[in-house]
Amino acid sequence: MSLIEFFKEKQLSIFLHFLSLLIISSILYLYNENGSLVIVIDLILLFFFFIPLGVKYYQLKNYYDEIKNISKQIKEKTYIADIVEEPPFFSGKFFYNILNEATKNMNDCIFSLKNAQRDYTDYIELWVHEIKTPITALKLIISNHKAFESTLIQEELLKIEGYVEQALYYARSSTLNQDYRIETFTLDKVVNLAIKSLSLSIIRANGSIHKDNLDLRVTSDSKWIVFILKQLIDNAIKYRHNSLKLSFIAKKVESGTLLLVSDNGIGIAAADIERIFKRGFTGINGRNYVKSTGMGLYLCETLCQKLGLRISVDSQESIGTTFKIYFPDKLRIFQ
Amino acid sequence: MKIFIIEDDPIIRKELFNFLEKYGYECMSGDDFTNIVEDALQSMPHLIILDLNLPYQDGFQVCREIRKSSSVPIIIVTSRDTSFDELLSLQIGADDFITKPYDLQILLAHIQAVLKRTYEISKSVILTYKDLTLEVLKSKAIYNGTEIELTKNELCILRLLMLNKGNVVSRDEIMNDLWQNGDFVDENTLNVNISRLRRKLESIGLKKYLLTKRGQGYQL
Repeated sequence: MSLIEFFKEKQLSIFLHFLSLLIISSILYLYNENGSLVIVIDLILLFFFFIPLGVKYYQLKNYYDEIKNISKQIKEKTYIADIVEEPPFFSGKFFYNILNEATKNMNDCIFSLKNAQRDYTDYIELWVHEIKTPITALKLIISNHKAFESTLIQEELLKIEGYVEQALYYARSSTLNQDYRIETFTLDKVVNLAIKSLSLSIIRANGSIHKDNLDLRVTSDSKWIVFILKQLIDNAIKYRHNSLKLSFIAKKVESGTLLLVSDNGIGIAAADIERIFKRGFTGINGRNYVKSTGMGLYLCETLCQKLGLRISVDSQESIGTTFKIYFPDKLRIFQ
Repeated sequence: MKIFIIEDDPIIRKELFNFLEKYGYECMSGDDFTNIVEDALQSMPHLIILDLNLPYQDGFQVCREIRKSSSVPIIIVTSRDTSFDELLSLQIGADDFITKPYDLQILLAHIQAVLKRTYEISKSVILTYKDLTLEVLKSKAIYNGTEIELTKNELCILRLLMLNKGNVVSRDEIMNDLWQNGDFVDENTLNVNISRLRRKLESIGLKKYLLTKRGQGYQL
């Protein structure tokens, strides 16, 4: 609070005070033509008027500066009422009490929402782990009792597994405490794992695999990368035309490694390409071909961000799509 | 080789028995999870497959108890796939860690690898069907005393067909098996592999052993 702002606020009382001084001085002057006495009286009155004003200004300025300072320094601004002291003057006390109540209420809300969110994430994790037991049982039953429909059932099971995994990673991507395991591995390892886990679907789509230069090594969390690759492969299977051709090519680029995942599918419309990583975005392909959830690519980008990687896409309609994942040499995770 | 399975889901247990016994392993398990550790140790297994999610006490506890008195190899199988679980498992003395849902072939590969590492005897795994003997680890097929060497893919195809004991196996299934072994072959390569395998089998006198079922797949 500057002095000018303070005076502006008090302008009416200052104006009235000067007016009363003027009236008193004129009356005194009219009755007793001694000018110097009038000036002395004026000065005394002015002095006793400005002293309390100054004290008040000093008090306010101190208090507001302190609040401003604290508010600038603390990160979680909703805790400001717990740090700022109660002011000694009435108007301040009034607002302080209201602020105190409001922030307390807000903090309680935030706390209970955070708790609910954590409980929910925990439940999703638990549920995902529970559902894996019957899925495993089903897989074992199918491979022990071959029937004509086995591969069909197996393929549907793969889809269930895919959706379950998506739910798990979605729950994980929104919590703060992450469990990463950063290690250095060849791109060949993760690409193979991703292909193997979707092999049946790729084979049924008449898919062929081309790999090149995948012995390059990157540093990241391999499980997350496999998940991301599986989302990309799954999309390539869904949005294919003719027989599927998948290629995985690695390139060394300046200060990093690039993994290119390409398909020969229907491609992505130019109008859609900007938005394909947005949550819930389905686009023309998602509406006209296979029903899309709009979650797969969103998760890919979210996880890439968390891992300090970059994902981008190039596509030409009815020719194919290439996703590029950039692994920087110097890893920056945890924001 | 004896394998003791500590798993509370009866269906998974039954199917594991079913599968592993086909490959010549002797399987055992217990129902009473209050003294599952003693049950397991008393039957002197060569390997223990341990589920983490158990009633009464959790798998980590069981693993620690076993390690107090035995160094039998333990493979932990779990649906909890966090790095923390994996790390803890290996720290308390488990030899291997597989997450559900797994493929039986992958489980089998892990079992074979752990057994090989621990006992250092590459016990031959032998399959027979209609007078043909397959030595899986040596990659050899034997008929009437004549041997032929098989390539990795041929071995894989023949093994799958022999395990299915005369049932038709679809081309997709065969390809899937090859892919799981790390070779992402296409249709043409599969054709070549099949015809080479058939020629090799004919060369040791097995004519009309590998049959093509048009539109369905292959059959022994």
